[in-house]
Amino acid sequence: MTDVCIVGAGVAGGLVANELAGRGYDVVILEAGERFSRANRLPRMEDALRPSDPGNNVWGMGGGRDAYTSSGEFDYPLNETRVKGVGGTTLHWLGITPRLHEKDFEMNTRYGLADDWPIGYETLRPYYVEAERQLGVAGARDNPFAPPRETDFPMDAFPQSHSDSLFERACEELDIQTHTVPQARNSEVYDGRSPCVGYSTCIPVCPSGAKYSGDVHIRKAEANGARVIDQAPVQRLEHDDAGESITAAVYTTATGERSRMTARHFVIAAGAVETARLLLLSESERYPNGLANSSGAVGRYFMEHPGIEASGLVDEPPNPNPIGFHTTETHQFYDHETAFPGSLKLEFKNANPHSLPDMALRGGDGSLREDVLDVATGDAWGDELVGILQEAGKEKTRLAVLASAEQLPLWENTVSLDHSKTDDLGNPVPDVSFSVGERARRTLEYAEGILRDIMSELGATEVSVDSAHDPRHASHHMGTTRMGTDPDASVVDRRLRTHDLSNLTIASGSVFVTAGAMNPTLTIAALSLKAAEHIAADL
Amino acid sequence: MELTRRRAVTTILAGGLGTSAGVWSLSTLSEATEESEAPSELTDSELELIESLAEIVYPSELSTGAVLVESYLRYQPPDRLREIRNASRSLDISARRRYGAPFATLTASESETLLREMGVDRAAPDRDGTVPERVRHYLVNGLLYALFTDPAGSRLVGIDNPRGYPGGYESYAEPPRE
Repeated sequence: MTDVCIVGAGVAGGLVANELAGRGYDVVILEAGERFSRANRLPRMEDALRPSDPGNNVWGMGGGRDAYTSSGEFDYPLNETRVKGVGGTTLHWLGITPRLHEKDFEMNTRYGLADDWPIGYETLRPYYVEAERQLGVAGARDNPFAPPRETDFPMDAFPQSHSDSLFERACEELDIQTHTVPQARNSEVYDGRSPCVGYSTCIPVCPSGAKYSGDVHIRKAEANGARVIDQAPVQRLEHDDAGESITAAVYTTATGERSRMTARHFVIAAGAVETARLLLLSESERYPNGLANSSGAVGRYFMEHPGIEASGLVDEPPNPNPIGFHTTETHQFYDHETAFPGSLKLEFKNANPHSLPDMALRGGDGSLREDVLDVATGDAWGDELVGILQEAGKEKTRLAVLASAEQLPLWENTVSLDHSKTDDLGNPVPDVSFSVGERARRTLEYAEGILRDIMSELGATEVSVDSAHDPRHASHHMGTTRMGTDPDASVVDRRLRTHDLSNLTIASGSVFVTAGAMNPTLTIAALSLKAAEHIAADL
Repeated sequence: MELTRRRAVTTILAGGLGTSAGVWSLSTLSEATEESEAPSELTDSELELIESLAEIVYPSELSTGAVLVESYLRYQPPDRLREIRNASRSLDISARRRYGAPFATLTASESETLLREMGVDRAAPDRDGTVPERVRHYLVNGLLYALFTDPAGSRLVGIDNPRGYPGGYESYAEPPRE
């Protein structure tokens, strides 16, 4: 019998699979999406850069398989925030990998807010070290606000950009200290992968493979004997008569046949939306509200990272050459003594004035209005196009800063089943419904003041700031199967094992109790390594 | 553009010239050469048509269009190459209808007139669209993409290392040129 069946071939599933296959266990991974050919990454990049091919379709998201609804405060564009396939959402992530801070695990003890995690920073710390090593993180120890760390980063940090120096100057005047950004992107050859060669299209695709993505560990796991079945969406999990353990994962193959995978242990590693959905789809007589859901918390407490961006025109031109990632942040507004304001993280964008291929392929049009006028005037090409692009390059250009805020877990923020709509296999689709909550909104309003100060110090004109009432979201899915010690209030325990079923582990952002304001992937990776250790101990 | 380019494109596509692979990452290069062979589906006349079109949509001062076209077509997967070929044939049929001659033999003025009469300049690119929409998507915009994701095109507008070009990451740290 298979030792471990893992649902989901993203970074979490890949790490768990590799850890267990490397220890000699028989591992099978079921992945809903396909295995993408690495040789096709250049055409995928072309799709991403062409104005007629929105980046969302680069990885084939959409259609009946990925149908969903969004019923909350926001019309949440779920399929733009995730990828199904070998590598998962890390195929299109930016690659920023900070650790959570100590306070993120102790929100209730420190501020009387939400709940504490059942583990603290010190518990997760060795797994952070290992996750940084396995993913390959470039960084520097110049961040005075970072939680304690024991070693240098595996790779040197990326140098700061020219526009970073403009921000740094302005921030100094405001007593704001900036610093480098840890990221899972090779600044040198690492783990047999290329250093970054500057395609500048990190989101949604890195053609060189310098940016870490979950398929790296899937390949390692396969080299250790794991098997991957792609295009095999899992429909439900079945349990034994006593309702104490999972017996099989029921999935549909690429040819449309229904099949069952039995195993000694099961791991759901499908992100905070599909993980909750699979548990809810697996309802049974014993678990009428969904599997592992005695607490009623499955699908509850969904969290994102809301943010607002400020941008303005500056006299001094920023970077002439684009890059797909940012190289400066400040975490000065992260830790806080009092309950309000919540944690903030500021990212200083390496904004390029405009996307050259985008404007060129639109015949030199820089606005929707000009696109519309094409019907009458036609687009330019040849020498005329170059002339238009040269003139556009002389215009003042924008610099931008993004502030991301901590959002508290709220019971009413949910991933649930929408029984009024089904996917291509006839299953109810996930419905994502959430609001950022009053505290996050007020934190964003507080952030607006900081962003305006920075823009003012830069001497920026025509400053534009997003509204705290209509924030953008970071595509970070968290909550929905929260970790905790109380089986009546949480879904998994400190070992990432469900309270209800003894052989079911969840490795995902879904286990986060609170979200902080840091990018979640390194924490997901650290938790996955921890989960793998516990599974190995029990097998 | 120089007329020698047409010959160069044909030669390159037949596998005769080196590529600009030196700037590719090693992993990309090895996989690209393993899995996407030279675009043998394009005939000489289709290549000539694409090159003739490049002479219209590329700026007159450009002298390295052949290498751009070669690099671009080389990484196209077979299904896209098929669509490029289909769009080329459609454009050629339009040329024969309008001028009684293949597109590649038209003067620059005739080519320009034909493209605008067809509405290629007013069409929104659409891979599944009408003939002008597909000509815009697969041919005109394909060629423009090849140009402006390469320093040969981007330097004309002051960018040394454009998006889509693997020119290393260090250039973003450099201040603008005076």
